[in-house]
Amino acid sequence: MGFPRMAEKRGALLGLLRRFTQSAAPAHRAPAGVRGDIEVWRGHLRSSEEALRHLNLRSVGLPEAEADPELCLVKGEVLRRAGHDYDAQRFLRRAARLSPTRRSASALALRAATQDLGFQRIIEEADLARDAKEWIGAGELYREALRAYPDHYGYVVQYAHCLKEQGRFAEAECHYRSALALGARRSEVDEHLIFVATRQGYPANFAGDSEAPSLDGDPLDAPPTRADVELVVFLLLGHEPALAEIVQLMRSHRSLRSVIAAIVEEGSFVSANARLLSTARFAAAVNN
Amino acid sequence: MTAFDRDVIGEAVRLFEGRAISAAEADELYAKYGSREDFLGELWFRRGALARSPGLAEIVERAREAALQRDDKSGPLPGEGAERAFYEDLFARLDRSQPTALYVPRWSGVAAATRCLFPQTVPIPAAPTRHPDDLDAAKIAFYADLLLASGIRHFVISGGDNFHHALIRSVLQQDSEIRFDLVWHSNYLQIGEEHAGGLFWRWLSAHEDGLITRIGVTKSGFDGFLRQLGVDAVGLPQFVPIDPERLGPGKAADVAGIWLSGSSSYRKLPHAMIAAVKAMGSFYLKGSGLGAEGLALVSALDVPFLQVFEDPIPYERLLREIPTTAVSFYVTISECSPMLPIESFAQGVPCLIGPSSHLFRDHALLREMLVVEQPYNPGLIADMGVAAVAHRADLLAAYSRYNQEVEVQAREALARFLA
Repeated sequence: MGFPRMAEKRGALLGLLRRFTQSAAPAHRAPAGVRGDIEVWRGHLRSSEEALRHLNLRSVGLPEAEADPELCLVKGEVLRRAGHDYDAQRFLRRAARLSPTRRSASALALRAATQDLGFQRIIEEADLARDAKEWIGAGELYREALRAYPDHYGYVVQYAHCLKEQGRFAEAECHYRSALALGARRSEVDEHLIFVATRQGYPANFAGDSEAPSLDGDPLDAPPTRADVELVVFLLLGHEPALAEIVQLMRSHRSLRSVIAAIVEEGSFVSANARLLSTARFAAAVNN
Repeated sequence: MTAFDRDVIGEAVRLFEGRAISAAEADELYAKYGSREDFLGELWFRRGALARSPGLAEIVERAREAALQRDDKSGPLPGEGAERAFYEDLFARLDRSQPTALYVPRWSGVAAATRCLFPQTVPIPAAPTRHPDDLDAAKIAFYADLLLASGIRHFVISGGDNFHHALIRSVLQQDSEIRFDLVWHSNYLQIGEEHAGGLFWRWLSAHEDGLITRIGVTKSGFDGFLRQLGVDAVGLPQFVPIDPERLGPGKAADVAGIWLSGSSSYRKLPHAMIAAVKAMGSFYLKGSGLGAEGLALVSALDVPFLQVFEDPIPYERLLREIPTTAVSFYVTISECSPMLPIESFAQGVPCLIGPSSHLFRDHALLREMLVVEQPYNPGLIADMGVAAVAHRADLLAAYSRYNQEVEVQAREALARFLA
């Protein structure tokens, strides 16, 4: 599923225009700081659509240069109301990736996704395919949607359902567990998670956290998502984990810190990082 | 995720530093640290991710130490002779006038017991990855040379594998005045096992031949049995030192742990203990070394669990897992002096045991509340498990005093053994 060609061109032209009309340096912040910037952009949201269409967009900057998720999101919302759908989409999607933790990214993704027309279009198609029980097609569409908002737990669950219906139980389990880590309600996931776990011969029950992880807690203390496991295995061992390894790590560990500890203790961490571990700075850093 | 790129960098910074970075910053880091390993070093050490996670830093440090001890010819770390360097460093810190216990780190229970009991210990081979039966003559000669060069005159073999006989003979051929003793960690039932039984008879012959002077045993009463056979034997109680000030129940109140080492297929069966967790109603199970049958039983009985592992977990991890539970079950049918129960108590978690060891026999409260006289009775294990959790504070206080007495007894017995 691609986006309308015209929108692409329009977005490219707007981006080009901005490059000519602003310095290459990161966007200048108002003296009042980011919070002040956010208020300014929120103020635009109270303007009429007509006024927004005439808004000077030179100060919007580029989404790649944004560092604050809320400011990036509000800019996306303003652009959306001003009718610049493609640029709005870029800011909205960037905003969800700027969150300091996956859980807060998830919350932001839920909000941004409602404004993202390109995303909504894919989801509409995916839902139609799902309702028609076209599980392969629906799964591909949900997966494409999740490229925009990988931490949107609602559609992580939908994608997992499609995998489950195709009999891809291990993959489905990974995504159900990811959805829980991102904040999905246990009542909406447990039944399916138990089903796919049982079908793989894993004991049929499990006990999870009764409380959702904190939005702003240490990311290492959050339960691992599939993406987290893939990241830490690659970062610590230098290879892509097999599906079975991902499933096992997600089943066995309730925090990412615990996953990392297990990889360091039990995996081939030492041989994968021989040079790193032999450096003097390692010992100094640990002793300090 | 198959390549080291800006996405990996961005996500890794978010994970370890709790912040998102711009694409420009990710590109800058990529340009500066072109490899995964270099970037990991930057993230963990220079930017302080490990310093902010002391627990993780300790685990990484242990991995580094284990690498130094490992005996791979290719060597996990650069440079030849990593093992020799490890031993040179270790022996340089030992007091050559003191007896030194040698243990095989692969046998985690024996290794832990040895390190608790003896002030000076040396692992041979250096790492748990190496099975003692895989050591060839050249390697044994290497270890013999190390022992001879150390200047230590009194060694204790703790455990007693086959290669130890060749090691002792090799040392004594070059210096017949060096003394060797043995600590035997098995019990009566194991004499009937082919491997353990064979080793046992071989050590009795070694004593008869004068290769070893004395045999210490951890099974209560086994020393008397050996003395009847004319063997110079001493009973050695086992203990794990604890800090009474820091010994207290943890937060978990509804989790039972079953931690097996996979060392026996018939003396340490998990079935009744797993069933007991189910019978405890609102309790969850955590466990390792349960075997395929154990996992199947968890599934069949629909036992609520947090984590279950078919295989045993590493010792370091075990010590981290135990405090996340409220009670341990180690209800086995044949033991000499099990380490798991006293390691569990040292972590602030009471442990139920089977009736075959001497543990808690001479303490009324601990015996009544922790020794399961019918080890195949899940209902009894469940009732006693619930009661143990309800009285955790009392049990820990009682155990603290009990352990102090055992420690005194162990020190006295050790002095007799080494005399």
